[in-house]
Amino acid sequence: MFRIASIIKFDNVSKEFKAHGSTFSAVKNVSLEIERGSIFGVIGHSGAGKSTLVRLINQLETQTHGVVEVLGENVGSLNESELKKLRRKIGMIFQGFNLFKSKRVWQNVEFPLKLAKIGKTERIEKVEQLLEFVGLSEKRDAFPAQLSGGQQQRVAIARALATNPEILLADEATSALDPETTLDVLKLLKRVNREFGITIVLITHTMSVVRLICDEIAVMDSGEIVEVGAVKEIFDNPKATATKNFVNTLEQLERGVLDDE
Amino acid sequence: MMSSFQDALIFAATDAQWQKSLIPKLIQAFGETLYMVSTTILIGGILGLVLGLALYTTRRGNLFENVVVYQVLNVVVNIIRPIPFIIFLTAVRPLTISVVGTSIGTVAAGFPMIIFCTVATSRIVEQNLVSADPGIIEAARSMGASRLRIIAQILIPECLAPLILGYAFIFVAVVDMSAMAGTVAGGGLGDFALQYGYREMDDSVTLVAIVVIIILVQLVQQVANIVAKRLLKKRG
Repeated sequence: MFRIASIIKFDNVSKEFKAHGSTFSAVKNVSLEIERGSIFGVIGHSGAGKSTLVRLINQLETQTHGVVEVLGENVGSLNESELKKLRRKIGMIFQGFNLFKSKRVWQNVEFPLKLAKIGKTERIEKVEQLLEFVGLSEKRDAFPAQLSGGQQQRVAIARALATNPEILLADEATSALDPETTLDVLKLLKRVNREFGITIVLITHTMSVVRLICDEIAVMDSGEIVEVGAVKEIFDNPKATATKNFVNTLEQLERGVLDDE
Repeated sequence: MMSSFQDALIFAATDAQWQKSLIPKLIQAFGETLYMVSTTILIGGILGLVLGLALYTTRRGNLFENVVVYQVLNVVVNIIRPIPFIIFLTAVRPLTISVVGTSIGTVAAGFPMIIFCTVATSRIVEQNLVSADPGIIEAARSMGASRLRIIAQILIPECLAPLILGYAFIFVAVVDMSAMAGTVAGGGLGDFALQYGYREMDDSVTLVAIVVIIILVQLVQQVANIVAKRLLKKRG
């Protein structure tokens, strides 16, 4: 089907890792389109290839076969400086937050602005705006180690938004957080999506996270995408075995029962 | 032992011969040690940082991954590092003569010291950087930071505290080397202790030289500890 609004497109993409003479396929023949302005979830067990798949979007990993198209550009054909420019349009947050521990909160948020060669006064102004958006203005002079996990992830979100990206990649962004903080961060991500129209690609192994904020999801199993569709459709009528397992697990957790059928 | 240290110090402070000729020689020797150690630390420390960064960044999966370069550097470092410095000092004499012009004296002793310091520092730097969280490098890459900028503005600042402690460790090793340089008439406290203590069988000279070295090393280690502790306190 012709979709005018796709912002990310995978066309028969594979990624192989070679180590000690053997080859491991982390991503196998993936074809996928992600709609501009949506929140797209990628769900799968650890080792399913989710992290590798999203890292192909900003080319932290390079594909072995196939074409990855982001914002209308074939990312595999970009040179170093074109890639740098593209990466400024793609923010990324991580499970371990990955804040720079040697830099204060405001310096963390400022760093991508420095990379974009933005002037000092403009940088300071933007940092203040972003910290206000994530509700951490009073922590501007703190070091990351002095913040809670949820606060650190909010700083990471502010940092990822600094260069006004069009895409935000969230790699298990709530997996290290407690349920309440998870909810706060998900709410913040929803605001990022609604207020700035930023497309979010969110990796998770938790079905409840997907159901809370995603519009569409892809289910990954052993490097392959086994099912794609709108969240409601997938929940109501899961087809692939991996999907059924995820839905069943969630239902069991919610019903509070441990049955083996 | 303690009392013999005390005796030696009291003797050195009161004895006429010490007053007349040994104290000026001790001061001169201390100056030479400081000169050798600081020059070596400065040049070898910088070269060692570069070599250490090269070792770290050319490792598999790292910023400048290059198996051939890594293996070559790794082997070179592994060949030089285990050689006892006193043997290395004499082994590189031909090279020292061709570079410095002579193989005797303070400057000539500095050449092998710089090489040895570079190699030792490179391992210390590499080991400290390996413990850096790869996630912060990935985060910086995802923002579009260049590899050199990641090294200068992220990697080194993130590892600053262990690097400072590593350099304090190197400082002690260089003081040790400078003492051995005494054997090629390199001057310094080692030379002083050998000439006037060992050869003239005056234990007070040896003991005084040891005390001066201990004070110097303690001072530097203490400063490094304080600076590293301050950095770690806030940054966690």
